[in-house]
Amino acid sequence: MFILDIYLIMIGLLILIVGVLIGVAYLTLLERKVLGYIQIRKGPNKVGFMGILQPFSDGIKLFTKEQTYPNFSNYICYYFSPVLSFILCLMIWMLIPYYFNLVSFNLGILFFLSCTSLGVYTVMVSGWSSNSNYALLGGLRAVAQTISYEVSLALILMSSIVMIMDFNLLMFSLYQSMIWFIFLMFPLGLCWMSSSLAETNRTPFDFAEGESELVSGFNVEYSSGGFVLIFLAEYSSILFMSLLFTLIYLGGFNLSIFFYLKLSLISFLFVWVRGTLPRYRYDKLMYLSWKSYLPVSLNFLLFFLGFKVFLI
Amino acid sequence: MEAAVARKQDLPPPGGYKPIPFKRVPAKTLFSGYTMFAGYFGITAFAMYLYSLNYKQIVKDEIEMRSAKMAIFPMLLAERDRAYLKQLRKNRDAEAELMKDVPGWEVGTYYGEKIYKLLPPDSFVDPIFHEYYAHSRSWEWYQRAYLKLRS
Repeated sequence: MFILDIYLIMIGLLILIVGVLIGVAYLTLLERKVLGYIQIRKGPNKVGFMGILQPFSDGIKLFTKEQTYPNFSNYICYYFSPVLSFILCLMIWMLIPYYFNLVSFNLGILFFLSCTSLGVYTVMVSGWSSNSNYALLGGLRAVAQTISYEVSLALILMSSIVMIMDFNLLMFSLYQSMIWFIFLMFPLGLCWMSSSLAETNRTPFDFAEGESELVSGFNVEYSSGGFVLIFLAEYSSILFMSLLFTLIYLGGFNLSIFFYLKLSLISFLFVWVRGTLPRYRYDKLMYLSWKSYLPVSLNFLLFFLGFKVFLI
Repeated sequence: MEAAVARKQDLPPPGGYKPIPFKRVPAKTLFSGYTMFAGYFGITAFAMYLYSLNYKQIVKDEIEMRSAKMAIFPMLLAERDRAYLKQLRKNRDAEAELMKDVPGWEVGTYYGEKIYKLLPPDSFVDPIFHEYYAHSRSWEWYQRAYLKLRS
């Protein structure tokens, strides 16, 4: 019976991974469709029924391509950093709130923070080990941006942690049963949203792959499998960020379908932002992080600390 | 050649084109700045009120849970002790059943020789793990050992 529990957890994790991968696949399809309709065209609509099988076709195409590697690259680092980033992104998903048959983290928020900070290394290593100027510069930009925004992300998160006084992600639903935190800390919610856009290197802040200056950012040299892994890692982190937003600000997890509807709404927001906003400027991005979000989140932290002390 | 058909020249409509609307059309401002600030403060204050209600409810629930645990704890302890003693009796009976054909064997001793020589005769000593599970099935023993090692 004890061994059986472990088997159950393993099966649960396997199902989780499959679910995440399929979710990521259809997130890419959603992105292509929504971008298409934003630009008044139709997006993929041929493969399978109305383009339903497009992501799988893309995946098969990418995996059957030849994987190249640059002659003077640092091969081991070059080969394994996408793998590592993919593993990290799947590991974060262990945090998905669930009441049975999965891992129940008491320190889930800390786990999330450490996994995202480890994810920076993979970007840096894959940019560096490709032995290409564009990849190196893209990697450096991505790392600087991600690290800066992690600081503000953690500080924004601190206010919510103070409100629930716990590191367990399940506690968010308990404390939001009367009012969502988005109403309690609206500016912080907006800060969190844009910080997570920057954290995942998404469009208004996608300086890691500014096509006009860098060809494609840190992943220029990656072709079939490595590129797929980088891509999957990126999109699964987008999904996870929208999950966190739903969890922290939109009422948490209460075992209902609305949680997943809210999650897909937020991931649609990510896509919408990509279709709407032009790219920002790099120095402005850095100033936005260090000169706006950091003071704002610190002040809000003080405010909510005072509020919590007042309540006790 | 026949007379040329009256050609229609592509001309502006009579009276000229309408003026081109080049003036900027700003987005409609639904709320003024003051209204937005007031709305923000109002919503936040109301949310803080609701949060405080929620927080008080959670604290009450925690207190209730803690009190219930404290109330039930002695009974749980007693139940555990009772189950333990019952198992000790079962062990004794199992040992007697097992060793009934061995001449000179007394239950709880080694052929009548006390295990703890310095202890007074009727004192109780907690059995060690292996002794406690000596008569259980090996698989159950293994599972308990696994749990014990990992707890």
